[in-house]
Amino acid sequence: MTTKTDDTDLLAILRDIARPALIWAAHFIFVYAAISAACADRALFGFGALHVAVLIVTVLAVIGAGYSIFRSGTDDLRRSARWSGIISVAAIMFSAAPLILLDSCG
Amino acid sequence: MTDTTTQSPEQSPAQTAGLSEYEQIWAIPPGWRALSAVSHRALGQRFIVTGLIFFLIAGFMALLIRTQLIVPNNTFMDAETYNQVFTMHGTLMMFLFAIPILEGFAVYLLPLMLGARDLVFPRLGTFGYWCYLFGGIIVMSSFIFDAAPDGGWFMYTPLSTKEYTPGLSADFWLIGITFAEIASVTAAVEIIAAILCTRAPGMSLTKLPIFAWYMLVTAFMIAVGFPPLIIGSILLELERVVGLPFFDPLLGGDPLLWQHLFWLFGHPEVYIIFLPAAGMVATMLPTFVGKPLFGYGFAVAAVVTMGFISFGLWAHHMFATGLPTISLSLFSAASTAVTIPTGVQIFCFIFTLALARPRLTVPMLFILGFLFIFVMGGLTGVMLAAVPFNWQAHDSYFVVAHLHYVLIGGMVFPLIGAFYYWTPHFTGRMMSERLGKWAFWLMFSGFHITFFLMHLTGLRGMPRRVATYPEGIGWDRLNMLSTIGSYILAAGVLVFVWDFVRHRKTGPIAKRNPWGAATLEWLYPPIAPGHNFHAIPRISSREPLWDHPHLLENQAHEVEGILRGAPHGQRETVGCHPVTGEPIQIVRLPGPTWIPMWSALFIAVAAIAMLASAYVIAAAAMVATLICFAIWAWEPAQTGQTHDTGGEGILPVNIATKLGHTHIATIGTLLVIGALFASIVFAVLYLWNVYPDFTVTAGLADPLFAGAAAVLALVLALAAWGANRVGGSTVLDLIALVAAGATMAALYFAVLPIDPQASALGATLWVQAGFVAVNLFVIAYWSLFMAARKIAGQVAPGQTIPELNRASFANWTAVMAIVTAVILCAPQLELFA
Repeated sequence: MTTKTDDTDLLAILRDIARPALIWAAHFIFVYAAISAACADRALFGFGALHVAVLIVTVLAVIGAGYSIFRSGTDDLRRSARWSGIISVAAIMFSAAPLILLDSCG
Repeated sequence: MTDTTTQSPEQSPAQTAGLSEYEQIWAIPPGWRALSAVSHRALGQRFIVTGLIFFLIAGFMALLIRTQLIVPNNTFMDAETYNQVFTMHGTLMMFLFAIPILEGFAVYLLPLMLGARDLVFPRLGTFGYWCYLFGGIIVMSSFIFDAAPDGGWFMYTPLSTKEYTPGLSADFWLIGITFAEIASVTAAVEIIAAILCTRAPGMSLTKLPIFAWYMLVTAFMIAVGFPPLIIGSILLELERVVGLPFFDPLLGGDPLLWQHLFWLFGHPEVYIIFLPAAGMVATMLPTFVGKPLFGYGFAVAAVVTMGFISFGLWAHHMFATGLPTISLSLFSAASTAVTIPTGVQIFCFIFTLALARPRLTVPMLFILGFLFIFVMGGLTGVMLAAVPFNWQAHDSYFVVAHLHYVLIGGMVFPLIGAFYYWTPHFTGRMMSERLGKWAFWLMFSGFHITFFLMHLTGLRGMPRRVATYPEGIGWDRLNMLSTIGSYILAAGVLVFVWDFVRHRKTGPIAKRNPWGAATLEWLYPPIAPGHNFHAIPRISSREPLWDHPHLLENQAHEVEGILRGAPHGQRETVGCHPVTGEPIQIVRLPGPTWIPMWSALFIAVAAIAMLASAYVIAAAAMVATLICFAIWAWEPAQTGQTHDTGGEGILPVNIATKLGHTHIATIGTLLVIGALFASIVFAVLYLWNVYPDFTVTAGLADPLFAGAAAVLALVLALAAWGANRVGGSTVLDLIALVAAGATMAALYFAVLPIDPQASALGATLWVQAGFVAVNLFVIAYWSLFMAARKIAGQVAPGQTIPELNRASFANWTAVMAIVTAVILCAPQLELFA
């Protein structure tokens, strides 16, 4: 009942499972930090710079997290890697959405 | 007792030669000396029983709360007592019941599911249990001293500061709970190492039981999620005892810093509670459907991503605190995003149900109850993720309803189902199907009467945490019905408890694999011997008992496998490659000992002494703890030996490589330390960013000493690395000891010009330097210990596990010291700019 997986490939698949989630975490921390830097009293940079920075990082994050979605393979953990990518890409877009929809700290 | 000595036909006596020594080696000591047992079976049952007792106490408090609210203007309890009761209800449920009892199940079940003879660090787990028990007793003893915490289970500042809570109540909470949290963190490290390092031959991660995936992610979440609360608690206790102004806005502090730190723990905590319970469901459900879990791969992806995304939701508990709208939107989006992996898991369960007609046993009923209730709680969670609705429902009974739907539905129902499912393991007997159905329907109906109506009470505007309410504003009848529902719910719990107690004498004897399950924990007859596997079988399937029926055709102790019996006269199990599951070492395990209990007891004495402001006694107790730790670790090293496993060739004992179990545990520990350090850095950056005017108020750090600390930290890392490279050196141990001490001194002189009383940022920088100093002290003590062992002839050439682990620890400590030096110098750079 268990699908056969080549164990030598397991480490690579595990990396593919973890990488999108780690990229989501890095992206989330970046967006949170950037918002804090722009919107707290210290106001390290303006809202325009925030927009640009988050946009660039989001594109990079989507590429990095989405990379494993297109890897071939049918076994269970390969499917995990694909779905980890899909869920993480969606979550990255969710994190970036407020920056796209709003034009000030509010 | 062994599998060979019970009454069922499957457990008939086997007189195979050689077994008696094996059973003797793994036996749990009789009588009161059973308390010295470190076996995962003993430990798991201790956690479960203690957690269950805290659950019943907390449940009784819930009934007191509901009784107070049954009618308007009730005088059953005064407001102060009411505050204490609801605070302790939440505290006990969240800290002393939910996580410990789930960890208890994990501790008990994981080795059996993984094909291991015990957890990989039995003494560490035992130490954690005693910390949990003593911490819980400290918190509960606050009632005796009329100092029960009354500031809510979240201990918000400024209410919990000395000014507004002058007695000891908050101190009881902060010290007791922080102490009890040691158990969670130690269990997390142990679970990570156990799952990755001690699986049966051939059990690659692809064949890992789904419960182990859930527990692996949960353990990582605990390792990262608990540290923010530990740091927050230390800061708050320092503010209360020493007067450091972390949360005082007049001195650049911020009450919201506490909320950030608390909810950085508090929200992942919900998932930390949910995931093990969901893992139990994912394990039990296929048994009753008779088919493997649908979408194993989907579930693994969902669990892993949920483990990450759940850390991005903390501020949705802070929507009403005045955060910028864009921050609210970010956290609202993340709160919505987490429904994706949650939904994937739920659909995996639903599709599994659709594979075949399930057997409606008692555990299955509780699984269905879980699905129904948790999905409803999840839906109201999505409602609360929307900022405008959240503002309307904030701090109302709608939120109380939501969180109980999530926690009782997501954890308590699966847990009771798990009791019915796995109790044969603890007692060898089955619980009653009839009483179980009574328990389920009473709990299910009572739960909905209590909490569904609270949605309406909340929407009608009733706030949480009020001791009473005026009549005639639309809340009377709803509260009356909720209270009646809570009594029905409690009756269901009592039926379960009665069944749990009575079945030990009168329940039918459980046969081998009584539910027809697929997982390895049912290989042996469900009794409670001191040992697991006479021989550890090779695993080639995720559902071994279904795919390889021959495993159940023979007597369990006759199953083919490696390390049969106790060939080397010691407790040992197979250590595996973390990914492939192939054997790479023999792991030697310790037997019964009192040292973990004494270690925890001395920490408890230190905690109590701190509460009593008896700091000399506290210091003496900590010294005693360090001595206990040294005795604990003072044992002959066994690296370098090799033995025939009888089937998988010759394997080394306790390997000194990065794939070894002690190094994996060291990495897990460094994850915890890293999260602690990151929490402090977060606090520093937060205060620096939010209150720029206070950056230099408290004075500037000495950049020369800060730079010296960074350089000395590098020397420390080099000495530790060198000691590992040369395979152990007393001289390098002593160099590491001196370098650690010198780095501590340099850090001290670097922060000396900063007045920690003058600003919150200054105080936090002191904490950061102090935290690094504690890690440096650990290395210094460790190095001294290693040098002493070498001088005493306890270590042979090539026995370098301590060197390997210390090198990793020293590297990370050096990184923290360098980061601290840079942060200490940052205000100088700012002035320069």
